[in-house]
Amino acid sequence: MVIQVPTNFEELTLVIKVWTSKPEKIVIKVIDADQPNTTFTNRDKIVDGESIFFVRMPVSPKNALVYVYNDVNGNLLKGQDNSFNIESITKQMLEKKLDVIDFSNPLVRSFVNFATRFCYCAGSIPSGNYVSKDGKFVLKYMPTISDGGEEQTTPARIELDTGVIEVSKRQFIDFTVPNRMAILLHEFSHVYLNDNVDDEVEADLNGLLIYLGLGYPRIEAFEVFGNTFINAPTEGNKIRYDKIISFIDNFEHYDTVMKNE
Amino acid sequence: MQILNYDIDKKYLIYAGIGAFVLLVIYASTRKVDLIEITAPTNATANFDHSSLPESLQPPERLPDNAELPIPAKRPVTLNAIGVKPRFDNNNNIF
Repeated sequence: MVIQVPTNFEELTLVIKVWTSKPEKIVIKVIDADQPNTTFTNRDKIVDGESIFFVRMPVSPKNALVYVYNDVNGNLLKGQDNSFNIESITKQMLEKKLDVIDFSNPLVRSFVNFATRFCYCAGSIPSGNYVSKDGKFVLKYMPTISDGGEEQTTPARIELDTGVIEVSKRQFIDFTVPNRMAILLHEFSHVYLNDNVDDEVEADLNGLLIYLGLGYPRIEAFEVFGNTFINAPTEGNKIRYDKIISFIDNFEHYDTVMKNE
Repeated sequence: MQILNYDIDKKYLIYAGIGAFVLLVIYASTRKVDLIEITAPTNATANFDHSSLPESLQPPERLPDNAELPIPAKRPVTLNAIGVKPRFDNNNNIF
């Protein structure tokens, strides 16, 4: 079932209330009705009884298409699938925590603006070199990222010496807008926020602080880091993932200081 | 007819005003969407035009092919970045 929701480019939270009579795997997908390859969330959950999906959208299209369907049956029209019922869809105010972001830093302000534009449009713009309005950031949007002719699994990377960011279009095009944002903020953090430019965990947490503060959904951050780490399942990445989970869980309580364990 | 004390009236008016304001905020921030099903999504995305987007969401500037890349911002130099970290939890080690 597909519902059109006029979101008018506002920042908001979509609250989708779904009901099932027995445990069913319900898929929720929110896409841009106009711009190709622009997804805001794509998630599923086992629903038994009433369940609420919160889709945080710091960036939204003019009109969003909300797909709700039972994973087993696929996307059917209303009346053709009685295994679930959409009780309501409401638009609520987006909760943000901008006080955790250092917007007094002009680099942060500039990069958030640049990354927001790029992430929202990445599904519909050609490969090439993109530059922020103030010329402080350069992003190479490449068909794929490769080293010595071999395609790399990383969706993005930053040259530590120059600050130039490389992004794989092949991978970014399938990512949700929040996924893209989480990745770019991680790369930005390496050079511009980290004490130690090589520290991956520090970049993860510095990037996530901005990402979560802007109101992007937590589930999309879990997803993008999880999928990236599945492609490179090292012990170091497992530790990174555990720290990310802990950081996101604690964020709601403003407990964003990582303790040494 | 009994005339109510003016101070009590005023207090109740303030409470009522605050209550009405809170309800108004909740009402205004929660808007129910009419569930209008799209039976056959159109292929409108094929002709998407970025100029229809608000200024804050338009794509960043794309440099012409073979154009020289500008030099990005330099990494800021901070005490922490160069490894000099002030400590405030130990009086014997100020730096």
